Amino acid sequence: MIGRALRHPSFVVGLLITLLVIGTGLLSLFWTPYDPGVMRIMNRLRPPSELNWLGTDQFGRDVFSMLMVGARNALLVGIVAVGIGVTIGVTLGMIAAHGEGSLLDEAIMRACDFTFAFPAVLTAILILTFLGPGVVNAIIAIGIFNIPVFARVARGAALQVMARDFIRAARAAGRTGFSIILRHILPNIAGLIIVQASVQFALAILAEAGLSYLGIGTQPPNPSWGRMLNDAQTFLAQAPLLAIFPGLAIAFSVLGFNLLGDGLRDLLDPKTKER
Amino acid sequence: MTASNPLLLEALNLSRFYRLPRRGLFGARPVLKAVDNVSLTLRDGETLGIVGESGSGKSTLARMLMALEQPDRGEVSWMGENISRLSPLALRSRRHEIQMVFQDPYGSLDPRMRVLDSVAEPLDVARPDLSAELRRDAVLEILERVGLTAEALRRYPHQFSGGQRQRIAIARALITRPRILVADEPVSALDVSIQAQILNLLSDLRAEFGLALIFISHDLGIVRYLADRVMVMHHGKVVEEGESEAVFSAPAHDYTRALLAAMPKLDE
Repeated sequence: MIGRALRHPSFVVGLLITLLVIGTGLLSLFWTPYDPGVMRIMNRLRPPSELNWLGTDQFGRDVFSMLMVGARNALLVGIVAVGIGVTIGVTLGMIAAHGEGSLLDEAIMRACDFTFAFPAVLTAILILTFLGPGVVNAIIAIGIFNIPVFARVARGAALQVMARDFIRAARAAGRTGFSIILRHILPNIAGLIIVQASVQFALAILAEAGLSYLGIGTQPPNPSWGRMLNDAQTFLAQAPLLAIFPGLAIAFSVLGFNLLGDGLRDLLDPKTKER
Repeated sequence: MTASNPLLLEALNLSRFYRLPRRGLFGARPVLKAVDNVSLTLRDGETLGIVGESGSGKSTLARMLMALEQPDRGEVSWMGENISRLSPLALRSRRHEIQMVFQDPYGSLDPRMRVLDSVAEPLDVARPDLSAELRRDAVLEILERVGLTAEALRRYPHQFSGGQRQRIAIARALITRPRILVADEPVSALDVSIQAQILNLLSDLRAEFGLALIFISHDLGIVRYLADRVMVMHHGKVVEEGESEAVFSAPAHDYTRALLAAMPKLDE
């Protein structure tokens, strides 16, 4: 399994990028070249140099340090928002699958359709207008939109598993509802959920960047890639690199998580599994 | 020989209907009578063969006998107790007496569960208090009885051949020492060379454990080899029933005759 994984190009590239982003985020807890919050007005809008590897912004803050702390912020948003989606979504999906065709199943799935019918980012903006701007509320808004995604995937996969004989065999052995879900269904759909989670993770990072760019996500002085983009906009003619670096960071990590998801999808697919 | 033995399993006027999708915009939904008014009895130590072509309702009947599916009409009794009147908990506590072997050994074992846990599952429900050591011993004992070794315990189903998997499935079904075993086409998914091994194993175990067996198959030769009594099903109905030799040597119903005539013979 591990040997096969290491020969899968998108999995390897995705994993390396993901580890780089996670590593950077963790490192920023202990060390950054400069304090990303400290302004040095005399050093404003410097190009990349030995002192400031990626230059400085309009307040003289070190861009590299801000990107590092921004990675931590993006990861935090991704983990919590996807975590909300997985826990609530998978639970709802299991409840729906367990009572397939029942009123409860219908209610859950129609509620998911209803949520799907709204454009995610626009509705997140709407939610943030009510809840107020800020990173916590942004996480909640993004998390809410992850719930129906996981509910649908989990329900569909669970129904497929439930039709198989080993579920009947478990019932013949005397297992009932909850313990069948725990012992047989969840382990068999975990692969699909993990794949979906890595894709949603990429989308969550993108959504947070979008909301912060609009000024309703992460608030100053906490660095966020999206807000760095917003700040850079004003100086686009003067210092285009200020926009390019956070843009690259966003694109790079989104690409990484998507490649990881693609790789996992191939690796966990039983049809491509060698016997 | 078995007429005076206690009655273990009884089904009375069982019916199960499936509503099919509408054919036209205004037509009523057609109803498929998967099982139509079937009754049967199984006494201690007896083997009942159920034959019929695929789609004749054999598997649906088996699932109803196992309380895996609710009949639309009729009732099933285990050891004289009507199972539809039992509470879920009471039903659960009686399941160790009646176990099942499924047709497809590739689908009847959880691919994510080690053989040890798969085989132990019925025991885990029946005896949750068992220590890990005793549990493992019980699994090993039954695995050895079906021809596997301790090596199998830590492995996953996909590491075994079809015949070995069916042995694992049989071990799982017998670990609680049930009195009744329902085998739903247990060899039809296997290579012909393996079929005989599994059938001999079932036959040996039946004698050793004193099992009452319901053996479902579309293969008359196999049923004739194993069964004391035979029930022939066609379109959900029982068309003929009787002592095995009597049915095979002097079939009364046209469908049974057609089935027998369709059997390949070696001397032709």
